[in-house]
Amino acid sequence: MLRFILKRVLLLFPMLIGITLVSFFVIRLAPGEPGMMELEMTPKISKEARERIRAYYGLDKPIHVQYWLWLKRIVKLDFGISFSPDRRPVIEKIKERLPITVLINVTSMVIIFLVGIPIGVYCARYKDSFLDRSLTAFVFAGYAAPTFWIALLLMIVFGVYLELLPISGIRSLNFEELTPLEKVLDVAKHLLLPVFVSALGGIAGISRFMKNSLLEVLSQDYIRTAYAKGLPEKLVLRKHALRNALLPVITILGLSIPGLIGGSVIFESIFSIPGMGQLFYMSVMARDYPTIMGILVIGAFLTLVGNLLADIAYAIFDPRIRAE
Amino acid sequence: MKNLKTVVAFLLLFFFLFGCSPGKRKVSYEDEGKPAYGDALITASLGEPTNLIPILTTDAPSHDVAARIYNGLVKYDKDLRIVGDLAESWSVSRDNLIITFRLKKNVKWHDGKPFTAKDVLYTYKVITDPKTPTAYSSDFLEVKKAEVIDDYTFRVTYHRPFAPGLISWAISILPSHLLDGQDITRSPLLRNPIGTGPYKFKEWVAGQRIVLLANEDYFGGRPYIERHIIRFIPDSASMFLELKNSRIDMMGLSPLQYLRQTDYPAFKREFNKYQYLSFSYVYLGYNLKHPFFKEKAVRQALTHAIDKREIIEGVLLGQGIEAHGPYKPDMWAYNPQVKRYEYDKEKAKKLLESCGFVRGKDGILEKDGKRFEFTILVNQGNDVRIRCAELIQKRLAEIGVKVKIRVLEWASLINEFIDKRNFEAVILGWTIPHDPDLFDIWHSSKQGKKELNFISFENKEVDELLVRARHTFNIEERKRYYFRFQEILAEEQPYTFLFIPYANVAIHKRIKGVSPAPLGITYNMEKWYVPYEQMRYKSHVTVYP
Repeated sequence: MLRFILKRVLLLFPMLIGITLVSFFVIRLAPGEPGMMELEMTPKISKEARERIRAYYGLDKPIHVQYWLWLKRIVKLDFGISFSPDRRPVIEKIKERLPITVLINVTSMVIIFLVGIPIGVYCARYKDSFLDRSLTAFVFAGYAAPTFWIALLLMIVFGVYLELLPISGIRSLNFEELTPLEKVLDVAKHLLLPVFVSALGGIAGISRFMKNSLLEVLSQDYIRTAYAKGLPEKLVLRKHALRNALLPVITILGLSIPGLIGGSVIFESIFSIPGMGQLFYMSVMARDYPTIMGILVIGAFLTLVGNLLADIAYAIFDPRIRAE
Repeated sequence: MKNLKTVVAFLLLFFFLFGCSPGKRKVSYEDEGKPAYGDALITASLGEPTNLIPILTTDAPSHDVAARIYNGLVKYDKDLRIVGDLAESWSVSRDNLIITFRLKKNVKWHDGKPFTAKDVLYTYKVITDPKTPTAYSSDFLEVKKAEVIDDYTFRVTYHRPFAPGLISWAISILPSHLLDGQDITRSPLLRNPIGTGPYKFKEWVAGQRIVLLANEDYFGGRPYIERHIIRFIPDSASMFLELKNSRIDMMGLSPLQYLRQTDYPAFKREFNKYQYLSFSYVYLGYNLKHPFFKEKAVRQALTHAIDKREIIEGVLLGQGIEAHGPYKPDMWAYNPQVKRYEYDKEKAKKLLESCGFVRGKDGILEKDGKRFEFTILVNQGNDVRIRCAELIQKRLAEIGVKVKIRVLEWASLINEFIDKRNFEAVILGWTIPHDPDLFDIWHSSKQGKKELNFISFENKEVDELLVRARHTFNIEERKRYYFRFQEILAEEQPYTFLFIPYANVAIHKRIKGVSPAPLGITYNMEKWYVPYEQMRYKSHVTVYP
């Protein structure tokens, strides 16, 4: 077991280097340069000014030199300074936006599991019943409808017509003047729609997954044995079937770790939530290389770690794997 | 069972949240009232500013905020005439080489320090410093010498007379006592600016908003509206919903929003809509190196074949006017007498025949065995331009010219096609600068890579006119040059000038004193006010030092 973990950890590093190498060069293949996007068609900008800005960002050096310089810094965990004219450290920009994204994603993940798994179990248990079909249809309708469309619909209904919920942002303008309890409620009110919208797709996926996994387990011999022994259905479901059917969910949990810090561009834009998705999108649009690379490296690292944790957890919970 | 509890708890929370929503107050905003100090103006911006030192940024959100915080030495008044801002007056030497500014004496920086000529000199130095990553240095590199005569007199000497030089001093003047000797790119002022303007910076909540407070000591008089809050709402649909919800007070509207989606009583009760000509035009540019576009008559024929009126009606829902040249009608440089090309298919056909085009078997015109077909490039995400291209395609097909349309992402369009001269025709827009100097777009020396005369327009007379107009300060004389310049453009048709769109803005009715002018609408923001009984945001604001 220890050897297995050690091998996996050692493999992380070449993978990370590979990922950064590909990202670094691919992002530079996209036409356009930082600081230039708004300038492309401005009559007042001279060529000298352009050259000056390029040199300032170090873009006049050959690309492999740029990569080497970046790599030397990243090893020291220095993500560098953003190319956007605010010239702030990349890590600071990420820190600023991480909490809200993590809050939304963790909340929506909890909702996804709390709602999705019971739906899946129910649908598997009462397969082909009327309720199973309608739940499946409903869940899939939610999954199929585009996020931005649902978001706008909810905003119009709850925000404009009913005037019950704020439409955008995460705090009211008078936030500073509120009591602590009011502050919590204020943020909750702002996050209600975004969390709901972001959970919708996940619920569909996980309930489907749960249903299939449970159906597969229910067709196994040992379940038939349990029934034959005269055990009550509830017990069979809970004790024998569900535990095994939940195993694949562990993998999903591991795989969703990187998703926790990667915000969604679409709903963050619609709800004006200053999260990671927005930051990444704006960085790509502005060709802000250091910020793009910073987010990619953190994302890649978490993906690899998530995979590793999932594998380890699996080995712990499933004796069959350990035996192999 | 457990799940049921969760659901119930969730629903309870939901209703509890509903319970504490404030309803809108019903106030009539019809009364003009009297100016009063207080309230807040909430605007929204699609993008977040990058920093608040204007010479280091190029994005509109940064400049919009900075415009409230800083002043230049001069500015445009509402009718586009140059007037003093931080400068009391100025004089130009007889040989047009020296400008002497006399500065206002009662001006203070937001931190209480007096504003002097030293600040102007510092601003000049930092902008021309090769180490400063600024995009705005070119006008200042024309300066031979800049000197402080005394605390309130500043003198610049130019290498040669340079007319755009005067308005280049509208650039935001920076505080030397806080920046001199520092690395400006790492200054705290990037996110915490100190200016001389009508509003002081209060806070910047990343990703959410910037708050500005009225500057009580503003040399132009204390602004009436106490706070200006700029919210960042990156999605225009959400922004529009926030406007309908009265959570923002001001927003630019698309033609559709202006005409239809805001045309209901509740909106009209809360908002006024304003309209003025924007400082931009959209054009179809021809690559003049292309064999078909080399001939003037061909370009004239194409302009005759394009129905500009139809484009304005169909694409802009009538929210624009036809463009015939590079200026808008309310500018002093605009020549109303230039040659116009009415929509006339027959004329277009005749012109093309006279150039030797004949109809081929499939109805497409040919010349020397080559079919007259070309591709128009448009940038992705700009529906207006894409629809323009479609209408042009249809109209040109009627005279036997085959047009293909190719939609490209902005950066690829510019870097891979325009910069490399790898295009036949393109639909783009220019902002119209307040000063009519268009040297960089039309002078034949500006055809290099990354330069703006990418259609390869060369005309000796135009070159001369542009240079002359740059080197005189006499408005009448400049006018003569620019009038002639427009005549030549109209004759040559290097672009088919399509239209100048209207800017449409909705502003909350409680805000009074708004009056659109050639310069736009926000030029007198510090004079906008809300009568006391109509104020919405009366929270007590402590004025901090």
